[in-house]
Amino acid sequence: MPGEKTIRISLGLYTAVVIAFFIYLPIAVIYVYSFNDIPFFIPEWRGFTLKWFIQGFSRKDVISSLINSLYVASLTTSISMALAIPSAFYVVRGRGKIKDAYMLYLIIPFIIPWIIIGISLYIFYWFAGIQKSLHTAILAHITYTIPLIITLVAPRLYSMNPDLENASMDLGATPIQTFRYVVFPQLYPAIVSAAIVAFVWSFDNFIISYYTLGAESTWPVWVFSVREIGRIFPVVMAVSSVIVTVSMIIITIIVRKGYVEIV
Amino acid sequence: MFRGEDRKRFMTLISNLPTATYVFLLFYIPLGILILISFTVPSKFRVIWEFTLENHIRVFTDPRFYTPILNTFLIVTAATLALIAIGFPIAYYLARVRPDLGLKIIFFLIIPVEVNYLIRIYAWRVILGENGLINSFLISLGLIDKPLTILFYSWVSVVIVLIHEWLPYVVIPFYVNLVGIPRDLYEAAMDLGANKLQVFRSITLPLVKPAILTVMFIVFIPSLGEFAIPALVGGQSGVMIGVLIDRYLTDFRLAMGAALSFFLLIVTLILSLIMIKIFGYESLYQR
Amino acid sequence: MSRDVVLRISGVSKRFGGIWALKNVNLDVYRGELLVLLGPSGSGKSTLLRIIAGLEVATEGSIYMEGEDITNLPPYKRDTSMVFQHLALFPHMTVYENVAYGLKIRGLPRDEIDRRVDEALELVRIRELGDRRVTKLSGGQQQRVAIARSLVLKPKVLLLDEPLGALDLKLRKELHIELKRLHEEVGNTWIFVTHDQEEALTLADRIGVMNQGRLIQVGDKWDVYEYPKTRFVAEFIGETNLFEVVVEEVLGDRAHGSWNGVRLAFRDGGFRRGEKIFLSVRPENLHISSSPPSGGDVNSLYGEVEVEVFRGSYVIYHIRLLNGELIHVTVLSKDANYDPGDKVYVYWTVDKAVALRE
Repeated sequence: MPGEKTIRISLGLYTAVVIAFFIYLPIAVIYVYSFNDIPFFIPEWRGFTLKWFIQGFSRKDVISSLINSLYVASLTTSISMALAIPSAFYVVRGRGKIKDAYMLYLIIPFIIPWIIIGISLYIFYWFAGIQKSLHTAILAHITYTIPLIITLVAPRLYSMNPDLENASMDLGATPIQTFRYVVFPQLYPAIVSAAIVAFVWSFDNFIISYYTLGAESTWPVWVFSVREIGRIFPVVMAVSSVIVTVSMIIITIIVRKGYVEIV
Repeated sequence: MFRGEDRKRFMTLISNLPTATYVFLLFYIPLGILILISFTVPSKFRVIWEFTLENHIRVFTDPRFYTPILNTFLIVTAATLALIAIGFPIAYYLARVRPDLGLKIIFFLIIPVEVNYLIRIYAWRVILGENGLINSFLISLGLIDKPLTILFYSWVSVVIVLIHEWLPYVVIPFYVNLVGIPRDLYEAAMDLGANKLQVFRSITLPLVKPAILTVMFIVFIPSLGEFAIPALVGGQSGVMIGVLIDRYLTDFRLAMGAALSFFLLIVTLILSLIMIKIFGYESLYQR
Repeated sequence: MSRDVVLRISGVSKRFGGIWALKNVNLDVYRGELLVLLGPSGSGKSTLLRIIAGLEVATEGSIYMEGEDITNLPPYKRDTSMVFQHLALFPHMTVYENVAYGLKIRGLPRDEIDRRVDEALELVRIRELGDRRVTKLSGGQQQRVAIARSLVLKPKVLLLDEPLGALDLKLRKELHIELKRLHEEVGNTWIFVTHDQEEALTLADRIGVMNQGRLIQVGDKWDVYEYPKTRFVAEFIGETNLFEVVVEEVLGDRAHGSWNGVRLAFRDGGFRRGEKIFLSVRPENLHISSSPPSGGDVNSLYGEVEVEVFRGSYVIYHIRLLNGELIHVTVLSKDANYDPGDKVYVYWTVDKAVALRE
């Protein structure tokens, strides 16, 4: 039997190699090709350039798809928060067969492959004669983000002592005041995490957006639509590296400041 | 008399009604229509309101369908097994060999998830392509003469990208499971005379079964519906159900596309049901 | 003297799913008293308290406060305030903010809030803790904050749901005295729920004994102690000896019956011949002597001291009687001159026993 030290070193090496290859290689590719002065994806370095960044952020279709993604993600998050939170309460605090059925009812969109949500709405919009647009995509996203948010908020709600709300009402606060002064401050970290997760999911979502968007694209859909156009490739890389860097900075700040629970 | 109890029930109803209605209108009704259409006679561009079971039968009997379906299952199974084989040692290393590094490395595992999913697949196209990184690398080293066709745009690439995509989601449950095994179990085993290998075989392995099962479901079920990965790197041999459905839909052959989707839906529901039976309702929330 | 009824509970029943947690409870609560609802787990006492607070709604029956029907009023419209079992202090707020909460909700001006919070903290003697986070306080301190938070609103009725359960014995006893003092000082009506009969006897003016959803007996604590109405009450509060007696004859206001071969006399409560009743005699009402008791209206038994249990200021003797039964007698330590093995007479005045039907 190989000695402990050998095991430690070889496993360590193994871990490093696997992570480097399977996880970080593509990331490295993205960063490298953002700066590589070559318009195709040939493994050749032709020189450092920033032109892809400039091109990327001056192209109308890139900018508008990014803005659209932000728009869709924002509306999806806000609307689904409003719809999800009361149901989160019911799911956690309610009892009985109706509650169990309701839980199942809400969670089905969460566990089936996303492509099915996309497809059924694709057909539905066609059937009902509804023009597809950013808003039809938002409507689609919400069916998924509602159970997503409930899943993220419910555990925190579950561990909250219900007597706190009772105490608040006993002291004279109406249910709305109770939510504002007692429940929300307690739930705040979970709500913020849920909002961030929902936002990022919506921004990044490809497959549902693909089937439910109209003339306007969101960023992932646009990326997919140009997949055969070789020359656009580095532009995509450049823009992505910016997005990634920005979001990593934001995440680091938020985690440092402790606004969000690291689930 | 409007008793307080009724008032509470009324409030609950009012606050949940919008959500319930929304989900009904925008999920269940479209799903219902999808299922309905899957039973109609196929035609292009319109729906013929005559019903038949043929579409669903064809899913199983027509090789144009069952081949990609079988393919899908094979690919996903291969990917899942590979993920377990690749991911478990990493989790073991982080949990038991270097627990001090554990959380930091996990953090590193999660960061790349930030990057848009499609972009990462694009990057893999670079790596795996005919003139891609791997091939060029191997050629320049003189190990092979011609590019490895198996690598670019085949079922192998799909498996590789699936591994990339799901690795963090596999390592973490194993890590959590391993970390959760109380130290005294190991100590008791060693005290009773087991050496390290025996401890591993008799204590560690049996106790990670929950994680194995979790992983199988975290990876397996969503991967069945994968579309983007096979579309971008799948090539000919990597055609999966998702791609097939997309073809039929963009061609406006709705009935058949719906039938294939229905198949996917049923498979997913059955697998999820099995998971619930084994784990209870909470497992649904693990994702 | 007619007492001022501040709260009237009338025919209240409560059902949860298939189970009746409360069955037809009728209770008048008098202004200024400290009423203790005493009962084992599941007796419905907490449920009743919550119904009074408005946190649950009765399935049947009504609640009146000072004549007004409050049965359907939500908790934030009632003039009651509750101290919860696990205190339910708002963890994200300081002591000051917790106590000020109710006042803030009412929209009182800042300086009045300051003044009243100050007063309340002074009352419970934790004035200096105003700025602390409640999670950083000890159990006893948290108790005081919870009480201050409720009292600052000057409620007509203060409800306390077993608030001392989580504290250790010594702390609890200290707080008993504190609570009594507070009640004197503030002067409003308190309803205190507990399963601890010692706590009940310490704190209460009146005690209401509950079991399995029913209010079995309510009255001044001395009355409930000396004259329990049922076997349950007799056994639940304090210690007692229970004799199962078959009634043999009734003469005037006296009845006679037989207990395991021994003939006992007791006060008649409308009994019939052949009826089986329970006779409850408290250990402190039993007397021991080495010579037979002379005269008087007594029941006398003979037996041998089996065990002597020393309790500090008093002693409990376990005495095995001739008919094989064991009986407990409490004697002040200074008078406890008997040893195991001694043959003694045990007797009690007939009037000191209570005859119970159930």
